[in-house]
Amino acid sequence: MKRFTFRIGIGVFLALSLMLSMAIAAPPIGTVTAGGAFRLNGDTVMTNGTLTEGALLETGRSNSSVRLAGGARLSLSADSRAKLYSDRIILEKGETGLENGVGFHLEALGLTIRPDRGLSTGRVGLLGVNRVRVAALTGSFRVLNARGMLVANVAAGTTVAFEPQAPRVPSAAIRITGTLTQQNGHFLLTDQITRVTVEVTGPRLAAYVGQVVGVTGAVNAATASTAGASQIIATGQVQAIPAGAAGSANTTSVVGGVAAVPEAGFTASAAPPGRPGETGPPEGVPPGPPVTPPGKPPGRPPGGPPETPPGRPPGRPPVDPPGLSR
Amino acid sequence: MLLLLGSALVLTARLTVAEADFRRNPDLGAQSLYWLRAANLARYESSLAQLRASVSLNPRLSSAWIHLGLDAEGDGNMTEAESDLLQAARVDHQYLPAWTLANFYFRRGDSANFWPWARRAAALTYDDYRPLLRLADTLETSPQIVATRLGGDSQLLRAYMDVLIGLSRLDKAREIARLLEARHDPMDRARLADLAKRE
Repeated sequence: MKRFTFRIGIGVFLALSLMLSMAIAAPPIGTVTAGGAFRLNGDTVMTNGTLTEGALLETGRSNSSVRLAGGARLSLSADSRAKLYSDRIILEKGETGLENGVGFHLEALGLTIRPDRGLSTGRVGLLGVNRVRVAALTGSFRVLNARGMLVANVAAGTTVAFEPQAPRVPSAAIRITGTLTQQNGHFLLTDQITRVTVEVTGPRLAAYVGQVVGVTGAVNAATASTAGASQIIATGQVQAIPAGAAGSANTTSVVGGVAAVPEAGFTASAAPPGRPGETGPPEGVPPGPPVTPPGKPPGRPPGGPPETPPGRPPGRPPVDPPGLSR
Repeated sequence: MLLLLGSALVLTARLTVAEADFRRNPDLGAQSLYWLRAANLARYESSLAQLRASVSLNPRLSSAWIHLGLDAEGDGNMTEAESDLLQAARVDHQYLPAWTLANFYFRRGDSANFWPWARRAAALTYDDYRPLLRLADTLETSPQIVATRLGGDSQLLRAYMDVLIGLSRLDKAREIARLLEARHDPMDRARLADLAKRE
């Protein structure tokens, strides 16, 4: 009887030990497959392997495909490096693609790139050491800065390159271009590149309604917009963009300390018809060229010159943010 | 010059034999073409239908079975996944199917099935034991048990000791060192002395 009890005791102990060791172990989060060898946590692995939380994946000459337990599917291009978690990928080098990313996001250079819907598919690539390119193939992607502020909505079929600005550039600084609209007494503007809609505050804005304007200013973080905009900005400078120059003037936007430049898609074949990188106005924003009210000289609203900060000549084009050139 | 001439002769002889084979049995040639097609399908195509076509043309195509198994696992069809991966191991007795099955059972938390396939993969590993050791070490806390279950080969023990040192688990590394010490292999003297010096 004693021997029987002893055996049961040993059996229970072994079962508990096994369960405990399985519980302590880092749980697998998915699988990685490749056409050849790749590196996983510094080890060389042939064709397939198991990913655990925080796994460092480095591709060699061939691409790797990742399937995560949560449903997200990723591809990592050749010569790329990334850390993988169950809910995110941190891209350190190269390029990655995302499909079926419900509850999943990508991170690169401190930016967070979230699919708007689970069906969104896209590619994110690092260009050098300070630029990240986001291409939305289907669905759109939201790009947030390190503080969680929305800096862009990348629409399906478009590609935008982002460059977080040097710390000396205040993250509240903003520079956007778009058609100024008025809704229920609020002035709204959707930037042509980042597609971020902001509520604009400042004097004499009514004169610019319906026109394409370039606005520089600072985010008013203390107040939330009641007009559905993601942020409120206090204008420093408003400049009407002449109808013919609307396209060419809008080359760089700065939102939340991140510069954004539209790019020709690096997945042009997958983009819907239309010129890659071309950004049409989002829903709710009137399409077509900027509207200048009849009788008004373009870029010169009645009732005085455009608002410019002291010391800056009126009409001078906004200065490109440092470090970002097309 | 002689080398070139020799190569040309060998190539001519091979072509002659191949042509003679084809004239004797044209069906065999067609069958070879099928097999070539199957291998190309498995290598370059990844859709499930094409992979299924590959294995129907050539059931010994282990890479296609592995692809199918991993796809089924990703889709949550564990029975199908296991069956495809076991089929890969049946037709291919090399490292890759064993490694894939060890990973599959690791992900399922099925240690009873993990260890036999991990042991087989360890026996067939030709260069890097570390990925396998990391899986095994995650499932079992005792390095001696891990080493025993994976076959206890000296090369494996050396790799395991290095992994444990890399993880700063020196107490565990010393347990493996004792196993190596008992083998009295002069090759391990420097390695063991180095470990002894560490705090």
